[in-house]
Amino acid sequence: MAARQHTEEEFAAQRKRQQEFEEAAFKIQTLVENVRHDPMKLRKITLHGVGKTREGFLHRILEPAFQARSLHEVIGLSRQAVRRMERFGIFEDIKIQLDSPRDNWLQDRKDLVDLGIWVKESSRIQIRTGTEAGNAEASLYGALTVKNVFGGAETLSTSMAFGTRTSSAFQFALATPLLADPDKNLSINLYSQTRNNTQWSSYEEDLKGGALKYSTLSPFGYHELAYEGHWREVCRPSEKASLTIREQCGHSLKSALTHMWVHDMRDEPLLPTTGHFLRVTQEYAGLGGDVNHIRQEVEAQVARSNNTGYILSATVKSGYLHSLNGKPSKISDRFFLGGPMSVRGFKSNGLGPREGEDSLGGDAYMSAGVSLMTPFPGLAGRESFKAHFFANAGTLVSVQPGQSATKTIDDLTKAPSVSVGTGIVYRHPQVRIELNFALPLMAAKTDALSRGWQLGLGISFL
Amino acid sequence: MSDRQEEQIISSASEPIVETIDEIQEDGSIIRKTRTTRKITKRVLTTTTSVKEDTETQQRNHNHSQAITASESSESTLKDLSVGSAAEAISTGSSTTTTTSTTTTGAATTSSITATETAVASSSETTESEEVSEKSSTATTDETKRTFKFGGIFGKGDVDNHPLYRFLAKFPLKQSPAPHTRPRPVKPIVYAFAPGWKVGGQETEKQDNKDVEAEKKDNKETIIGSFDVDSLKWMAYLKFNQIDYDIKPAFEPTMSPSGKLPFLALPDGSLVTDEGFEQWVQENKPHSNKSESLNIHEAAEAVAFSTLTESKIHAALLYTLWLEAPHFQGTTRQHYFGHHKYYLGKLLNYMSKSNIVHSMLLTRTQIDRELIFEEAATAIEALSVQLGENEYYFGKSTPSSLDAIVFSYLHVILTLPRIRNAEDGGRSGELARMVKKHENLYKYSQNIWKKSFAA
Repeated sequence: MAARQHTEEEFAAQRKRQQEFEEAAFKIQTLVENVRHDPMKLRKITLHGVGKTREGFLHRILEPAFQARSLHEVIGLSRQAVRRMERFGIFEDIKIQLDSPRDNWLQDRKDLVDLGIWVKESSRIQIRTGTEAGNAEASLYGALTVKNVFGGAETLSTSMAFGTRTSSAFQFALATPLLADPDKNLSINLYSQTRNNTQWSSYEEDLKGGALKYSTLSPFGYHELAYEGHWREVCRPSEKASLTIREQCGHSLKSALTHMWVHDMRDEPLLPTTGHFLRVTQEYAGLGGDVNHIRQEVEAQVARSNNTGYILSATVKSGYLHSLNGKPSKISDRFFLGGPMSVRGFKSNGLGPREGEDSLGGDAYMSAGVSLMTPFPGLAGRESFKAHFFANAGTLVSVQPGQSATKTIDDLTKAPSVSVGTGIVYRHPQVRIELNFALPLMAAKTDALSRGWQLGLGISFL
Repeated sequence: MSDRQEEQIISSASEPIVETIDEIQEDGSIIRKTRTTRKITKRVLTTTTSVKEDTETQQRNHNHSQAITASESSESTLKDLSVGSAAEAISTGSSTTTTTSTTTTGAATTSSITATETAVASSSETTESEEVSEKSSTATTDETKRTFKFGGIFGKGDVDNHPLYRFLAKFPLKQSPAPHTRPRPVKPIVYAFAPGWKVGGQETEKQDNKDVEAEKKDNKETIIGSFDVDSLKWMAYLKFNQIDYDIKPAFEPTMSPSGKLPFLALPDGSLVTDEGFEQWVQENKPHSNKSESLNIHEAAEAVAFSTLTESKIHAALLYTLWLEAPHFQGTTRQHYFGHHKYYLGKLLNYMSKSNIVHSMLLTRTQIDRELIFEEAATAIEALSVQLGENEYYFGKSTPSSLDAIVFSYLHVILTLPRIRNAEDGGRSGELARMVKKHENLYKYSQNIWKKSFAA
């Protein structure tokens, strides 16, 4: 009886506290509501805890907040400024406080308010080592990143990676946001890497070069404009390399302007259930250098699902390499097609022109894939396992300089390589893993088939 | 008396069938396919042994002979035959039978002889077929039999018979022709530094008839000769042995399996590099009676002179081309890296130079110009003395490998463009002057060029 009373009392007390709390909140809310549109502006912004960040940079970020004219705007613009600061990644902890001015002669000015921002700058130097898995390749990397190098959220990073497909890669990058906008980024990259293509084409490629990139976000999507200069060497053909690959050995210089536009409305990139995706890349090589071409690539994906876990997705990928000076293309610029992440049912880079056991690459390709993911029998609760039914098709052809467009289109459409199959898809937070049983239905004589089981690990699939 | 009758007749016909099919592709090219089917030969000869109660006893022995493709196994069976027949002959023991057994053994031996004959004959037939099939298998065939790599996964045994693989072998359901076919070369192709001494935009002194003819020919877009000593050596040697070849200009030593140009690409797809070159030429030259070979002494001297040339004169030539500024920045860069952009060519030139210096330092402690050129002068003089007034070395009427080596060095030295520069005081032409001092070498080089290349 006493215990019951005790709890009843507590219950009543709690309810009373809650009521008081709600009343107070309501009071503040009405207060703010009434005052919201009253004229008010920011007089002073004080930043505490800033050491290395440049004043001009911060001024640019916080400038828009001074245009607030009412309490509502003050709160809104201050929040936006703080979010911008957070996005640069140089501050660990940001707290804000709005208060009336402390100065004595402004005591009765009700329309001025001061903003205080307390920040903690994150540590400048960061060293990371680890392993990384990408599209059918795994690598071991070590990276040194220095943030906020010159006080304006510039990032300097040096990294080294050793992997299966890229046998060694060194990269030095300096990136800076432009105009204190975290969405606009300008970066200089210098890199030196060796790609090991012996498995499908019996050669290795050394690449040294640099790029100047500008990337920005616009209402249409993400744009990236870059100038690249590459010095490539096709070298070290293996014992069984064919004559065409041997003839490709040598140095070439590429000086190119590239542009990429990405419009991604999918819910997530690894296993999208809704939305669409479009990526268009163009490259014009010809500002000096040995190669003079236009290279264009388009990728589009659409995904639809219903509530019971069935997902239907379709992808189309196409590319074209057009030589502008009448010379045939070099193998470093060509496209390759086939593999567990491209047209399934064929070996990696197994489609298209081949000589002996070497894949020579092609100048124009088209590929399409349709996938139906269904809940996996027995694991219906888990969203990351799905059963997978797919149909893929693709063609890769080489184009002689001066060939007519009709002949190219004719080559692309007359003999596609088609495969169907089924399998399991597992969506790991970082990669997508597929185990498929694929059957090629139509293939060219020289295509390298991969009938039966095929494992794919990567980020973007057809 | 027992009546032993064992009749086992197992025979399966076997013949190697070689088919050559020419398929005309859609783009007009013709693909020749060679298909060889070879089955295992099994021939079993049986003779029954029957011992009857008649006075005349006829004994024939069991003779099982299996002629199998492997000759070794056929030999073993023949041994068994002889043992078996002897044993059986002895086993039937009686006086009359002994006499008859001798005859029968004789008969047995004859029959066994015939068996061996047939066995040998059949085995030889099959070995011939093996050779034929081996040859055809080395030639690149366009057979589209697709094999399964990891056949052992589903257990041992005949992989292709497993139901899963039989099912998989049905795919692809439809095959379309190959998108890319490279026509097979008809003649062997030499990938070499080429062309010869046509250098664009640089002052070249017209040296008598050589350059004029080279330029004339180059205007007609044929490639003769080479600026590189090794390539010219190969070309000369092939020409001396009357082997027809095509030249493909190549400037990247990495493309060769041995890492050094030149190399030879044969019509059957294999490649011949430095090591196997001379042997290949000797194997493939058209047999003619008028080729004179060197005797032991001459061969030894040829080896000595070629070593002399390839060490002393080669060192001096490397020095002139790579370590002396006038040629290095002009001639050598133009020849070896002229097809690259200017600054890349310069960079690669410097990288090659450090490799050359490194290789020279492997055989000497320091690179001493005086010593190198002195040794080269002595070597040239020795070559001149050895040649004398002959047309070719050792007085032969057809050139030998030594002629190819010496000619290539002399020609490259003599056709180095003369740099008219006051800076180096004419040192860049020193090697050429050394050679020109000896009239006979000069004429010899001209002669070979005219006869083998310019003609």
